[in-house]
Amino acid sequence: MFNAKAKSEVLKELIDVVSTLVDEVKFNVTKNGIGVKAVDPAHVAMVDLSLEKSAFEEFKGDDSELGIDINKMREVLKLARAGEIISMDLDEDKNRLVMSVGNIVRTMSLVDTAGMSDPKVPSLDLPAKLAVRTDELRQGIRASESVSDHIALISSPDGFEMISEGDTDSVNLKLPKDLLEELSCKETVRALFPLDYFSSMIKAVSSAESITMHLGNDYPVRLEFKIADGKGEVKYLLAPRIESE
Amino acid sequence: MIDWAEKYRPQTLADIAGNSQAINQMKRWAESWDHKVPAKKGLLLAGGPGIGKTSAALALANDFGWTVVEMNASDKRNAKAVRDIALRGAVAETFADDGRYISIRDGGRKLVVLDEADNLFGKEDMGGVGAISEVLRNTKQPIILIANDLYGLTRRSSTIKKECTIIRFRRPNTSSVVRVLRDIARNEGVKVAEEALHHVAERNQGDVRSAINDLQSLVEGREEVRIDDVTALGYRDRNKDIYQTLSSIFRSTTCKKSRESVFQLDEPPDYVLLWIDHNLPYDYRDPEDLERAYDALSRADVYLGRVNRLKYYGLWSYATDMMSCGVSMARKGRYTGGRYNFPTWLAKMSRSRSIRNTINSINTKIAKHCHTSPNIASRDIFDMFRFLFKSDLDFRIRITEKLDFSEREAAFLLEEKDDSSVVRHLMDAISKMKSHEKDEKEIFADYEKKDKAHRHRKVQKSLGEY
Repeated sequence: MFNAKAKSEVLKELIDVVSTLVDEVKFNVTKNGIGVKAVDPAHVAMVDLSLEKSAFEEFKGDDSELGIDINKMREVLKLARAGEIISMDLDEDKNRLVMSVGNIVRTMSLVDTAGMSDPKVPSLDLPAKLAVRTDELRQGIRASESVSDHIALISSPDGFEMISEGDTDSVNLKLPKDLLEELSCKETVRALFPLDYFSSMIKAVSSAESITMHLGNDYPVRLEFKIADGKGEVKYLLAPRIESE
Repeated sequence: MIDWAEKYRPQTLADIAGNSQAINQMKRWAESWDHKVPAKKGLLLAGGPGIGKTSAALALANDFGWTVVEMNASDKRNAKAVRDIALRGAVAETFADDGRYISIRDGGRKLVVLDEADNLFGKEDMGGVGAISEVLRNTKQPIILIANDLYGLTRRSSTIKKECTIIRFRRPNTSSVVRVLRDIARNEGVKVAEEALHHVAERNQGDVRSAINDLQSLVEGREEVRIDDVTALGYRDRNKDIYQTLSSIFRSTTCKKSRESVFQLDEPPDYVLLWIDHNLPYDYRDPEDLERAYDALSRADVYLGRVNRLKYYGLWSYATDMMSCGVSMARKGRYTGGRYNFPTWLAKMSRSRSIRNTINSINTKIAKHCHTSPNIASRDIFDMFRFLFKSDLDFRIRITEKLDFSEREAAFLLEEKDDSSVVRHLMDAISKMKSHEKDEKEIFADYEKKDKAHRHRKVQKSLGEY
């Protein structure tokens, strides 16, 4: 059973976060809220999102699974004005979701969830933890995109560095310790990532002002940030690019 | 209803029917990925439908504990999708479906499987082969391409040929297909007569998937299947490729087999004729066999000629009989081998197409100007015309303008590259004449100067001559 009402912005944020990695996804509904876990089709990145009951205007649900086609959901969200309330109701018999926006009722057939995996977030040993302002990261990415297709993230006891090196040009963003909101790092760690993934992940952050990053040496990065005024949390994991062996 | 072919897809390489040689080759390739990127980063599995290529790829990943990123016909596939999924996956580390992080440092790998790679993008391709080549060049992870039509894929890309080990899958023989069917029947708790299993296996000529499908439809709603029940199955017409057809023609001892192999091939007889013509002398080594075979082939060609002239396609069947039975029956000796090649005539014709088109268009223009036919222009005029065109600048400019020669055509007549300076200057002069920008005399003088400079550069002696 699932029956909820939410502000369009909250749903939009949710969909933006998930759509960076997948086109179809499974929403796990519990009585406490909604959870989404997915691995992207290239098996390079992963998202783990949870949205509390309190992020919704109204929420009634018990354990059920919703197979959502992200593009369809986006179309529905486009119908809504800012601040408008969208209501969702699961029609279990017909396996469809009935959504209403203003005076429009849009029914949406659900995707079969049988083939969708249930990934667990792996416990990774990531020694460095830092919190960076979102707009700083965004600017760094904007500068890097014309230069290369990969980006190195480096954390040291003195600060955070983002380096992107192309064949001829390079970009370096350096944030010393006092410009970071948090830094706990004993020794320098570095890992190289595909820029397109990293960039779309950062671009999916809409309301959070800072992002917490966990880094290891040639190891995946874990990005954590809040959505829906702190009533939801997102973890992104991104696998490093393979440097020559 | 669950598809049995999917339900009983082999989980390990040991369960694949037949093809033991191919499977050993696959294992060796997978072992070469141990802690390094080998020279051959890709594997190209080729062979007919339903004989276990995809199953072998997935079973290999399973046996070696690799994660699989699979792109198959049911997915949205274009050059962008290949880059977004296969390429991005191939250069990065991996999260498995269950969320485990798999690093190549610990020997973990991600296998990228591009199923039906020959058919990824339809006939017009749209950059898809380019995208596959890009994946192969840049990958740090193992790649398996799967194709029914090997030639259709390698003809479009030399990278694929260079970066991949090519492994051919053959149709497993009837007894190994029977074994697979028997295991499935036992598992499903249905009694199926041994002859019935044989019949199903035989009918499908090594296509395990359709054999399993047939079995499933036979068993549906029964507890026991006898041989009589099997007659319900229709005959499945299999398409053969040209290589199999050639091997039937060159090897079979009965007329029937050889004829059928051509019928089952989806190619026009004139095309088959060229293939036989090209490969026959490599195969039949006794001159007398060869003489008889070519005699039959020439008769087939006579029929094809009549088809062309009369547009009476009824004669095709005679041509087909002559080139299949005729060639088969001409053989008295026994030969081995079986590496067949693409007809050089076809290859040369397609390579020379653009030159032939240029010659034709020049001749057509000359013919129109001289009130004669292109054939006569080609025979009587072309050589003289070219001599004049090369040596007389005045003639060159005027006739180029008059006949409206393109860059290509002028370059061909001068035996120069399209973008060479002579051609460029000539085209400049023509456009100036057309726009009446300058006095005609001036243009001619100008062109003459440039042409001289060009020829002068060509005869520039090197210091070494002194």
